[in-house]
Formats: sequence, C-alpha cells, structure tokens
Amino acid sequence: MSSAPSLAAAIDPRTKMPQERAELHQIDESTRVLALIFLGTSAVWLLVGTIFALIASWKLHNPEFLSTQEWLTFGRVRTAHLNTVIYGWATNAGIGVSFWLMARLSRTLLRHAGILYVSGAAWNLAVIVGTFGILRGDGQPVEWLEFPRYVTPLLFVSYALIGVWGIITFRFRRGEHTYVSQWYLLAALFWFPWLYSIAQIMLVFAPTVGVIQALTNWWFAHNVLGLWFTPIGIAASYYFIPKVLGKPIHSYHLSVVGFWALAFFYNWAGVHHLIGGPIPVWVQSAGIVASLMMVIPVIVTAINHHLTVIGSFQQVWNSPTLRFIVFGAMNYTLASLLGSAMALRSVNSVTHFTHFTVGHAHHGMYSFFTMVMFGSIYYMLPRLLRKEWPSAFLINVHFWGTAAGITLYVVALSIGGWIQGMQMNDVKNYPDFLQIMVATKPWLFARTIAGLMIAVGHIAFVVSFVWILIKKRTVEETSPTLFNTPPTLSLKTS
Amino acid sequence: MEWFAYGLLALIGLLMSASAVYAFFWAQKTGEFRDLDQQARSIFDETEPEGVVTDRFPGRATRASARPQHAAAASKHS
Amino acid sequence: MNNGPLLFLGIFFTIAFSWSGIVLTNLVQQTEAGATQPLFDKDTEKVVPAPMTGDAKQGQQVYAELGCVYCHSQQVRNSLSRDGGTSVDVERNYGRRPNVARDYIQDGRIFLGTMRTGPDLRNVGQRLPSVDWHMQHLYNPQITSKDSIMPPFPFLFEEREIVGEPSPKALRLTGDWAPPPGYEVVPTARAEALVAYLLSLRTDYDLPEAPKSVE
Repeated sequence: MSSAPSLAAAIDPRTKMPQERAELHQIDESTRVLALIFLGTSAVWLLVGTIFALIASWKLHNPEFLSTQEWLTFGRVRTAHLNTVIYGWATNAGIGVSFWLMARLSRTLLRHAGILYVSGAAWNLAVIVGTFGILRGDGQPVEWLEFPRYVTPLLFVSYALIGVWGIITFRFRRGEHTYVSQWYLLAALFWFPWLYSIAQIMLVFAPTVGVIQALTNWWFAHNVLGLWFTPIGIAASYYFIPKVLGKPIHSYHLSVVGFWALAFFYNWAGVHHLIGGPIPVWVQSAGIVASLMMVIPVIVTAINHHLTVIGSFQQVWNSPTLRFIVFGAMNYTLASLLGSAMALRSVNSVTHFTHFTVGHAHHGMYSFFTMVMFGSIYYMLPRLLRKEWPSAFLINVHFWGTAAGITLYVVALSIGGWIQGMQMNDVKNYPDFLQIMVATKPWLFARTIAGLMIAVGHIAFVVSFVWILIKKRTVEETSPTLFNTPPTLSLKTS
Repeated sequence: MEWFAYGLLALIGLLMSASAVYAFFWAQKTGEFRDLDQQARSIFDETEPEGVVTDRFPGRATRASARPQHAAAASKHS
Repeated sequence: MNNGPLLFLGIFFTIAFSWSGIVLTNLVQQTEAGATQPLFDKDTEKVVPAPMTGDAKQGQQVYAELGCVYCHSQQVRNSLSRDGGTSVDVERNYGRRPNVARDYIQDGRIFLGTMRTGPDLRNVGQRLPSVDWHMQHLYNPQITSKDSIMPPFPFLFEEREIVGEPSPKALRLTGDWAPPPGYEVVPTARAEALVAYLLSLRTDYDLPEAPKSVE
C-alpha cells in the first residue's frame, strides 16, 4: 500500500500525519483481512463454546451423561465453555469490531496490518492449546483465568501487540473530533493487557497469600466484563445506533459523562462477588457503593441509546444490525440495573451462591455484549465483502433463536436462583440441602431448552457467515458502501 | 524493600491523578467539550450522510421505504 | 487536537486507582496487621491454622483439576439470618463459626468459590468425617444422596478382579452398585488424596479476631 509509511515511521510520534482523510471504502478495504480473520475465528469459537455449553447444561440435570471420561466431567466442560466463549468468541469478535470501528472513526487506513495477522494467529493458537489444556486438567483453578500457565505468556504478548496497534491507529486519526466510541475503544484496548498481566502475576506466577487471591480474582474477573467487553459493546452501540438510523445520538454531553463515570466506578465493583465473605468489611462496602454508583453511567447510556431510537422503531425492525444492537442496548440497561441491585446486602444474601448469578452473567455477556457483536457483524461483513447477506430467513432464525433463547435462559435461572436462595436462607423449612438442589432441576432443564434455541440461532448465523463468504458478487453489488442509495427506495412511496 | 515499592506506587498514583485533572482542564481549554452537537455528527459523511438509513434486511428495500420521510431524506441526498 | 496522551493517562489512572484500593491496600493492611501469619494456641499447644498435610495438598490438586470449586464454596459467611443472631451458614451447620481471612493462610491456592450448586465444604471434614461415605459419594453420588445432580467420578476408581484376599480399601457396594462377583472397586491414589483433603477441611479452632464457635 503506497499510502502507508514504513513501520518505524508508523509508530514514531514525530511522523507527519497524512493530510487528507481516507474514504470509507478505502478504510473498510484496509481492515478487510484483519476483520475477517478475527470475526471468522470468533464464529468458529462460538460454535465450539455452544457445544461445551450444551454438554455442561445437560449434565446439570442428568449427572450420569458423559460422566465416565475425566476430560468430559462437568468441572472441565463448564470451564472449557467459559474460556472458549470469553477468549475465543467474545474477544475475537470484540477485536475485529474494534479495529474496524477505530479505523473508520479515526478516518485513517489501518497500517501494517500484517503484524496483527500474526498476533491474531498466535492468540487463536493459544486459545486452542489452552482449551485442550483445560480439558486435560492442566488449567489454573482461578475463575476466568483457567488457561494453563504455558499459554498465558503467548496470550499476553499477542494481545499486547493488538492493544498497542489499536492505540497507534488512534494516533493517526484524521477526524476533527474524538468521537465517544473512540474513548471507549481506546480505554478497553489499554485496560485489558494491564488487567491480564497483573492478575496473572498476582494469581498464577507469584500467588499472594490467602483471601487477597480472591480479591485479585474478582477484581480481574469483573473488570474483564466491565472494562473490556462493556466498553466495546457500548462503543459499538454508540456508533451503530446513530449510524444506521442516520440521526445523531440524543445527547453527546451525557455520553462523555457516562464514559468517565464508568471508568471510575466499574473497576471497584468486582468485590460484590465476595459480600459476606472473609474479607474486610470496608472493601465490601466500597464494592457495594461502586456497584450502586454504576447506576449513573448506565442511566446516561440508557438515555442516549433509547431516546435516539424512540420514534424509529420501524427502521430498527427493518435493520438486522439494529434489531440485535437495540436488543443488546436494552439488556445492557436492564442487566446493569439488576447488577447494582444485586450488590445490595439484602438482595445479595438471597442471590449470592445461586443460579441467579449465572443467569445474570449471561444477561451481561450474552443478551448485551454478544447481541451487539452480532449486530455489528451484520453491518460490517457486507461492507467488507461488498456483498449482500444471502438470506433474510437465516437472519430471522438467528435473531429469534438467540433473542428468545437468552430471554428464556435469564428468566428461568433468575426465578430458579431466587427460589434456591430463599430456600437456602430458610433453614427451618429446608433443613436438607438435597431438597433445595432437587428443586432447581426443572429450572436447569429450562436452561438446556434455552441453550438449544440459542444453538439453532448460532447455526443459522454460521451458515449465513460461510454463505456470504463464498457466494458470488452480483452485478448491482458494486457500490463501495452498500445500501446508502438503494434503487427502489425513492420510487415506491406509499 | 516492600515499602519502597509501595511508596513508588503511591507516587505514581499521585502523578496519575494529577495528570487526569490536568487532562480534563486541558481538554476543556482546547475545546474538546465545545460544540458537542457537531461532534455527535462526526460519524456521518458524504458517502453515509445524516438522514439516511444505512442497513436493512436483504431484499427488503421496498418495505424500508414505507416511511415517507426517509424516502424524502434519501432522495435529497442522492 | 492532540489529547491522545492525556486521555491515555486518565484511563490508566482509573484502573491503577482501583487496583491500589482493592488489592494493594488489603495486601499492605493484612501484612501489617499480621493477618497472614499463623498463631500459637497456648491451651492446645498447636499452631492455628495448622499447615496442610502432604496428602491433603495432593488432594487439593485433584479438587482443582476436577473443578469442584464451580459448584462448592468454601466460606462460612458472617451474614445474619432474618431472626437476628447467628449466621445462616452456621445455622445450616456449614461450620461452627464464620470464617475470617487468617483461616485461609495455610491453603496455598484458595477456593472461596461463588456458587452453591452443592453445599459449602469449608467444614465438610467436621460434618461428614467418614472415609467410606466420601468414597461411595465420589464413586457415584446417587449411592449416598439419591437425586443429587453431582456428577459421578468413576475414573477415580478402579474395578478389578479380586486376586487372593479382597483389598481392605475396596468400596462396600451393595445392590445395583455392587461390581460383578469376583470383582472389587478400589479407590485410586487420587481418590484417597481427594478424600484426605476433604476430611482436612475443618475450622475446629478459635481465633481472637473471629466470632466464637457455637457448639
């Protein structure tokens, strides 16, 4: 590419910035291979993670299922599910979407993407080896950091490169303003390696003594959600909602307030996983206060997202991208407010240690983040490949399967978990733990049904994904940015 | 020795907080917080202009045009 | 328009702040207060909490490998029951007193856990002290706890032909669970280590900073 300077010049802060802004189709073109690598692998991991999820879910009401092999025992399969969806699906998808967004918002071409292809390959190799390691029993017994210690340095190095490259792309921005999505993306790209390296050192390579491990663990695990996935999800929503609707977000002022409120409060909130535990009361209180303060950025983001959408529901419904993203944004509001409520001591004493928490984790990771990623992919791929999605039917199956499935999932586990929590606190009427455990079975079965619905959606998604990759480009599909002036639009007005 | 590390960390923390405050005032001074309405429009340009819906289900262009103001907006820009 | 570095510093600061607040201050505070050191109990002339035995350590590794922590917590909470007074967890016989930070300093890797798909195990050695019970329960939870959703761990056991005298370690299985005649089910070294670990889980001492044990 002639417009890209040498590698040294690309990262040297004294390099003179290119004068003209790149055209959108040029930018899309420069990110094409990179985005396809990350999004393609994420789709594969999504399927792998779904299979692990279904096995684990089935085991929870039929414990004899696949129980003779050690590598298929619940503790391994569940962990393989968590790590493949977090580091395989969600992180790959997040990186693909982030780079495309970052390049577009910075109005600059992606430079020296070759380095990113290598780190993308290294990242996925590490996830593959790590998943086998978990199934073999080499995993670290630290929640959300289970990958065996022999792959974590590789994960860290490949990620650090990716993060640095995102920041460099931002440095070459030609936009007149730093759009709010860029703030979120920049923060996410930077926060994650910091979180990951500190957690690795303090938990795996030089573990601290006693309960500090638990504090570090939850500081990390909650921040992966709050400071890595959430900012990417919000950045994508802040871009796609106004972009697709063709109208600016409701209040740009609020979005800036929301960013800093999130940055300050979210990273303290993780301690709420340890309320009532053997840790100092003041830390618990700080965690509770931060969790409650999260209401501010959530409300701010909610106002912006929802008030932008109001009055345009017809367009939301007609756009695959917005169907998923608006569903995600609605669930971000809902899941976050519920999360704040769950940090209250009175609520926490019921929901802590129950399936309610599992439901909540999926509410955040799936109903919000994953749905936003699906929506983003529906917008990106046609522009990267210059082809239309092949089948509206498959998109519909994907949307209904996942939206209905995850709603059933969250509702079933919330109700089941709440009942479980009430019974666990009621020693007089439920003295026998087994009785409580048996009572959760129907809800766990409902979870498997929900999982099957989601799996159908995922299959439709992956079929669409492969189909658009291999199908031939038709004559009309030549416009650099598709859909902006569809030929039939101005003719047929009813 | 441990205390040296903690002291260093505290110092770094102090520097960081000072720089965050400075960053805020600097951004204020250089106009990053001015003309916010214009900033919100920075995601639109000539190829994907404001007022045009840029995504719909494949093969459903006719249904998207059911709302007249968008048809109008689209024809204005094309 | 070059606010990049400053934005960057602000972003860095927020996370450094929470890390110092949650992790670092606690580390300093606990080290300073001596909460990471065991105590010597003059009455019983023992160090509390006692260091783990070698068997228990190996068992803890099995506990980790099988992912027990995803369904079992190891913490007796201090939260009050609705009637006031004792903790619900103590009432449920999860332990005789709520746990404090010092209880975990000998554990190496700690398994506080965040889920109670199954019951809390911090004092399972006190509550269920029988080796036989644990062996049968691990071989197949349905033997001791019908309708449990805990997975069986047959791979921790070996079904083998009886050669000469039956092994004294063989599981006493009856009815449908019994192996074919002439065969016996014996625990592997991993199963024995795991059970040793489970039996070692007991908070049977008092600490000055912890609430008093109930009888």
